[in-house]
Amino acid sequence: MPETPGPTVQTPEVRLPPQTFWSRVRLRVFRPWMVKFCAGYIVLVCLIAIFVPFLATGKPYTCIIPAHHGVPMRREYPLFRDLTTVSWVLLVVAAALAVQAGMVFVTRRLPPDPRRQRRRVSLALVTAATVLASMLIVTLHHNQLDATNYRAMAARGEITQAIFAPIPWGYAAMEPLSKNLINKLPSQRHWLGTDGEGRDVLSRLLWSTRVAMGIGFISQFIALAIGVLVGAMTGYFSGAVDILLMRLVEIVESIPTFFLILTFVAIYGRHIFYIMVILGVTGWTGYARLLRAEFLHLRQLDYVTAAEAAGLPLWRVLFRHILPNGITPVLVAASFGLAGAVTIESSLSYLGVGVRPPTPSWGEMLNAAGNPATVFHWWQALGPGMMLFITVLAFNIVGESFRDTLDPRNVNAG
Amino acid sequence: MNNRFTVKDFLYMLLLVAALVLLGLILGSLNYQTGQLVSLRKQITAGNQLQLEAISRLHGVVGEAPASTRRAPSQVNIRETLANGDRYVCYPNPPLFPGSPYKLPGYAPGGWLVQNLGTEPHSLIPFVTRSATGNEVQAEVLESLLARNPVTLHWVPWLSRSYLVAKNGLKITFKLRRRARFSNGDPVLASDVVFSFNTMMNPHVNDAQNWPYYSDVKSCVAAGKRTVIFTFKEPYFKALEEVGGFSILPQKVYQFTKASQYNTRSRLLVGSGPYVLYRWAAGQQMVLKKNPRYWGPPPVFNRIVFRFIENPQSALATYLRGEIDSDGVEPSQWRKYTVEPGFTARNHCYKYLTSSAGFLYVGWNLKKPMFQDRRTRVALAMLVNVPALIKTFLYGMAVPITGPFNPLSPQNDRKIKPIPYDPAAAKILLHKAGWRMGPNGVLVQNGREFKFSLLIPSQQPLIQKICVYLQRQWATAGIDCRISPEEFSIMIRRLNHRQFTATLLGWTGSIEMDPYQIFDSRSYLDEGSNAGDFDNAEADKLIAQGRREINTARRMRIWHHLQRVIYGQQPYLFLFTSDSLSFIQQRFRNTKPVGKFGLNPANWYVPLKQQRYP
Repeated sequence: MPETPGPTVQTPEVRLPPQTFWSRVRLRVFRPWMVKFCAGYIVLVCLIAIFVPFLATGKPYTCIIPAHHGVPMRREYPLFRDLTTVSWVLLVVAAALAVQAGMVFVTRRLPPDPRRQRRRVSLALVTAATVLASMLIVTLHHNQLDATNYRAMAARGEITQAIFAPIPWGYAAMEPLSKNLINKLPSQRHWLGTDGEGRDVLSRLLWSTRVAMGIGFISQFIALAIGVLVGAMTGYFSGAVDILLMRLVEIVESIPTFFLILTFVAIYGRHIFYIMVILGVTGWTGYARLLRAEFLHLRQLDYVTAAEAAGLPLWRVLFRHILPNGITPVLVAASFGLAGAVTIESSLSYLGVGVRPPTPSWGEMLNAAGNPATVFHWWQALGPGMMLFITVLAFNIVGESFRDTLDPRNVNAG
Repeated sequence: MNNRFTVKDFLYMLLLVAALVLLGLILGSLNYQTGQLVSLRKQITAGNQLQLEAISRLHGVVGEAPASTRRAPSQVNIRETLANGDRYVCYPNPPLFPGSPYKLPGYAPGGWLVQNLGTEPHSLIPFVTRSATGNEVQAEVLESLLARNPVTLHWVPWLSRSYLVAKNGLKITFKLRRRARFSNGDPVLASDVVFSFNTMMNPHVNDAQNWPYYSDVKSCVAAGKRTVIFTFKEPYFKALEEVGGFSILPQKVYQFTKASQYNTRSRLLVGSGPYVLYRWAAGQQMVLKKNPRYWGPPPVFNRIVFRFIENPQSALATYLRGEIDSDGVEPSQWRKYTVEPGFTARNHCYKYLTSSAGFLYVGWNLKKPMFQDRRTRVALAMLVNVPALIKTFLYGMAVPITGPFNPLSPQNDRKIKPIPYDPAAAKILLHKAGWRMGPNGVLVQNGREFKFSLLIPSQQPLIQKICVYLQRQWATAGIDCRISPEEFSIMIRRLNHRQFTATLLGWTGSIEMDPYQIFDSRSYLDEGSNAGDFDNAEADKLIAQGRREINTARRMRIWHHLQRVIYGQQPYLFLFTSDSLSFIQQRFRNTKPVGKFGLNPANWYVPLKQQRYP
């Protein structure tokens, strides 16, 4: 093996400095432009989901209310004042991710050991801070109800120096009915037109990324948590535990998720949270099966025996030593699961049992656009249809690329 | 490996046996049900010959209209007031109402009528079914003592031959028609009427919603084989309509010893009507077949198929594919299609307001502290611009209302001024009612925020649109309303158990409604229809007065007064009564709405050449 790159070297990975398993995987997975594009798209959608309150809202970032009725002139920040609890938590999470990414960047040139240690410490701190901040927000923050029509106020001169978001319409914003903005075609004012209630379609489209990403990530997080736990237990212990838990897996697999959600929603009322939880609680079986297979294989390896012989506690053997070596197929499956969850939510909303109105969701928007056989407004269906299609495709392409890279039968695999 | 019989194998065997036993039980119960059907069929065949004879005797040939051309003196319809003040009405033959198709040129019986029912009814148990769609199916199979002329609105004898109403309104005597028969061939007898009435009033039969209308009936007795006498404790303006309007069931078929038997036979539907229930494929469709032994004017269609398509978009798409023959459409659909060139020529399109059309309202749960102040409820109404709402979402195809009565009904007082759309005044009223702006932008009264959830049926795009508008309007005043769409049956359960704060729903109407069911304080009990607990002494008094008043003009004055009280109190936010909009396939004839009830599919027919199904 040549130590330095030379003209004779064909394979690109040899040119790279020796790196960890994951950094090599990363390089290989994201090599095709298509995967790069898809990954970029997913990141973009996530960013939109986090920052949409600043992108599409009828409330100005800031404005000045002139003196009136003896009240002195004052500057207000309606947008920031009215951020919801969910928005704040998302912002905190985004900030935490940014901090951790910064830490990774800063420590990238350090030797492996201090690098790993610093990253770990910062991760612990950031996680603790995020959890604490989120709990504080959830307990102390109250959502504000503010249906003031700031655009109309600005037009009438009742507020001045107002700075509006790029898309100055909220997802539920309705102009007074007298203006009749129902089902209007795309225009300069409304780039993607308006819907049957006279609301801006683009704004709703951006806001609906929240529901889609929320459903996808949270349901798969729950599914992964359960799946990893059950898979690890069955694979490691085998025997009676295996038999019992695998029967549990079979029972859960026999539940038709879609109809369970329909029934649940019919009985307990609809809430996006229920859908997330049900998708998570019924969607873990595939992960458990994959991980069980990995654990059955890995627990026989010498390093596991060594770890056991060293007297490490069980959870450490399971989750520190075996899990990192067996988790990859599960993560790959999770990316497909994510796409599936997004689709299921859209189907539910399309059937009218998903989110509550006026919360936007792709399926709900497609449903509201009408039926191609009868009354149909194409501009209302175009955006959500495309977004749904590309998002599901993107997750699948990225997942597929991961799978190809990690496939042990693939010679070039990490 | 080894083929020994182990514990595991034993367990498998046990499981297999258990599965077989279970299967046997299921099959057994099926068998039991079919057994019941077989015995029913035997009864039907027994009555077959008799019935055919009766029909041929009366109509000459089956399929021809029972036009009573030979007018013997006894064949003349009588409608007179006797010397002692009693009212006597006698129709020797079942009447043909205006709009009946039998004498029209080109009339041909046969073919099928495929209709969309919308929501599938839970059950078809007479009296127990609460859904409007269940009643629609029952209307084809069950009949009552009287029927209503859609033009004159007179009640005329149907299963009965004559009726006699005592002058004081406390006694009504029905004489039954000799030829009236149930579909199993048994004649309709006084004992069946008494059985039906007792079943309806049986406290263990789940039909509490019917009881208020019959609370004044003192007795229902059979005086002879074909004479039934109803006596009343007090006069009631709807007495004739109610005792003449309930369904008559064959005692032989429905006989039960425990009410629970009656309450659970959800698929048993046998009556004397023109159709019989033939097949009910749950979730798909319900098929009614022509009753071959029908005693009255022969039904037009060989079959009536009801399909269950809830979503209006899908329903219209199905209609356009020709899979259903008529469709009640939404205003947006009406607007799009009626302007399409040639569409009105290819389809019958009807837009009309019936005097039996219902209304849409937002009902408040007045048990909740936030809605107890009248000013709050008025303010909530002031925040809603109903005319603009009708113009925008219904394209003007509705009429705003100022009370629970139909705008076309004489019950309705047109002089009542609607509450104006006035957000500024609404805010002042809310302030007067003690609501102050809280820290979260939501009004607060006695430390409680003005937050509530609005229960609405899902799958109703129009209702959802209206709700989104209402939510927005109320939010401008600092009222936080959450929309909570529920599946219809769940929603009704929550209303019955009073587990709601506010709801947006409709009531079906009638030419003259009895406000007791919805607005009397006693209707809150027993899962009655006054779900919001509107409890107003003056309204109760007026309702009682109105119900006792036989004189129409005086009664209308009482209703007008009552309407003022109700509209002033605003237990509901009254929205509008909307036009009925219908598309019907071109091949049907005689489809025009007749009189005041709108479309009547019983009048439709398809010319022989255009009939699509045998």
